[in-house]
Amino acid sequence: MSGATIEHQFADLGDVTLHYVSAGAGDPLVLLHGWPQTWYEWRHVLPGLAKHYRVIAPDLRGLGDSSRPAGGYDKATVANDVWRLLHDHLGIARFFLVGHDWGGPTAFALAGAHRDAVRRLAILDVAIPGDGNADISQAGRRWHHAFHRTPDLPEALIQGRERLYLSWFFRNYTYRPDAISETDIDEYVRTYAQLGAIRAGLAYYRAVHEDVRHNEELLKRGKLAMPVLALGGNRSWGRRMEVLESCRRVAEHVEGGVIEDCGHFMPEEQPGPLLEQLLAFFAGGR
Amino acid sequence: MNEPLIEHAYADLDEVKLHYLRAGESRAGRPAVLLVHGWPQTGAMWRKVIPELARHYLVLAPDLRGLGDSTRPQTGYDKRTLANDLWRLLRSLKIRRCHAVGHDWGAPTVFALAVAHRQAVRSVVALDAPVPGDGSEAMASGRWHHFFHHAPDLPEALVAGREAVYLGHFFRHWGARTDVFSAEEIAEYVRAYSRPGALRAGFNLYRAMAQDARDNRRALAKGKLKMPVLALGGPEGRGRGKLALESWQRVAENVQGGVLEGAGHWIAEEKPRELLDRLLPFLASAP
Repeated sequence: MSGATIEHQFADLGDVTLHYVSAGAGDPLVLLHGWPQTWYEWRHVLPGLAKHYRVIAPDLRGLGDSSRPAGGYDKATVANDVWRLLHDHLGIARFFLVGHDWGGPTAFALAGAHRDAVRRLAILDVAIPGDGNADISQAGRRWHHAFHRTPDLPEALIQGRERLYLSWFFRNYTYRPDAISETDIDEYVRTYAQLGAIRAGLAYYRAVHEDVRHNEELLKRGKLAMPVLALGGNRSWGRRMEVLESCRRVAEHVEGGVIEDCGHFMPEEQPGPLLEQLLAFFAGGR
Repeated sequence: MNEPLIEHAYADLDEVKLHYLRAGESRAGRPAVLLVHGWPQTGAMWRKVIPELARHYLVLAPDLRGLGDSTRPQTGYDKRTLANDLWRLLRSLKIRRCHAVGHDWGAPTVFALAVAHRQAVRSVVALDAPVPGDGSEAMASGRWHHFFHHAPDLPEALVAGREAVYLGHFFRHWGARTDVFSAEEIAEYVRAYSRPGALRAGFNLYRAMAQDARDNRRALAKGKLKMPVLALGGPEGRGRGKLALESWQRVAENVQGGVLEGAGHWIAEEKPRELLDRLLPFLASAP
């Protein structure tokens, strides 16, 4: 990662301690990861972004090296953690924002709650709960959504087999199964095998009905007005045009489409094309 | 009157050896009833209804290919092949016609048997299961385990050694009550599914569903089933309620049934008396 010094820091926010990495200088740009990942999913795009921006990439509540509270995995609460990190802890008033997978709904909740603070928003390979589409699980095809919502059972099956389970997603939801190496998987498993991390990850799925209700309320105040970039992977388990379609139901000004030869794990599968798209999009807001 | 004896028997059909339960006298003119279980069960699921059925019928309750105490071939988990195993079992016993009752995956298996041998199957009873290829999405809709089981290798790897955890989930949560099964009853199913290859065979029932839907659509092009059909769903728990009847109405001409009050998915074990009260008159009235 030449050219960027990545600093690891912690922010004690009271009910949760967030681990976050930061690099670069300039206008703040915030990267929110998804499941089953951590800040580490941004490692390939972080140096390129840090040449132009002050990049901040937290581990979300319960995941990575952040602490794992018993509750608060609805995306409004997770988004408020990020807000407290940026606004209260770092004194940042306005920022660019990117969310992948569950980081996407988290970014949406953050942008909806602080509409003037989020200058531009990029949503990567995820649909927004409460966008008017009854089902973000593609009619059950994304079986892990309903499996993860089942109480206790997934914990009991995954415990001690975290690597096996996470690897399945990394190998099957990618277009190129070698995009995430065994060494990279080591890093994800290092934190997901820790006590409470699987529980916390599953809690993101278990809160989805609350997220739907919250977002429906939020949308009663109008769609998001800041520019939105929506990108999906066009292969394998990538969501293709579903991302753009979902974002158009919740935001006024949406551009985007697909990244070619890319599955679900966009920042690791196609970091070059993604970086290009992000830089062009955020440059429009400088 | 003594309880009819339930015998354990085996039929060697070359590529597969089927274990089956057998009860009731096999004398000339006495009709046969075939009882076909689903996942994650075995022929033992019929234990509460076999004694009374056996007073009137020769009762056969096999373990499907790959499951229970039958052998576990590498392939052949599409329902047409499973049905052909059952057909060969009947032939080996010189049984020319029978009533066929299926629960869960046993019901699509019975459908495959009935479309392949329209004269030999006198009547069909389908419990809490639709038919793949019926023109609806009823089979997998709202059931994550269908999609999970469909994934290659993963469910075997996660469930191996934890069969009691996984099967126990379905036994506790799919009925109207969490206490449908005793610890001993669950232990028997877990024993069967903990044998090497049994999880694989069970998940293959799901992996063959696209093939089943294609086979069934092709078979239905020659016409719906004409023999009488009784389709019952459980309205409670994770039972399919009216979905069972609605699905079978799309694939058969002469269908009756609906819901069995108070039952979840495990109809034959939750409400055996009420099931017999529907089953016996239906079988008696079938040609």
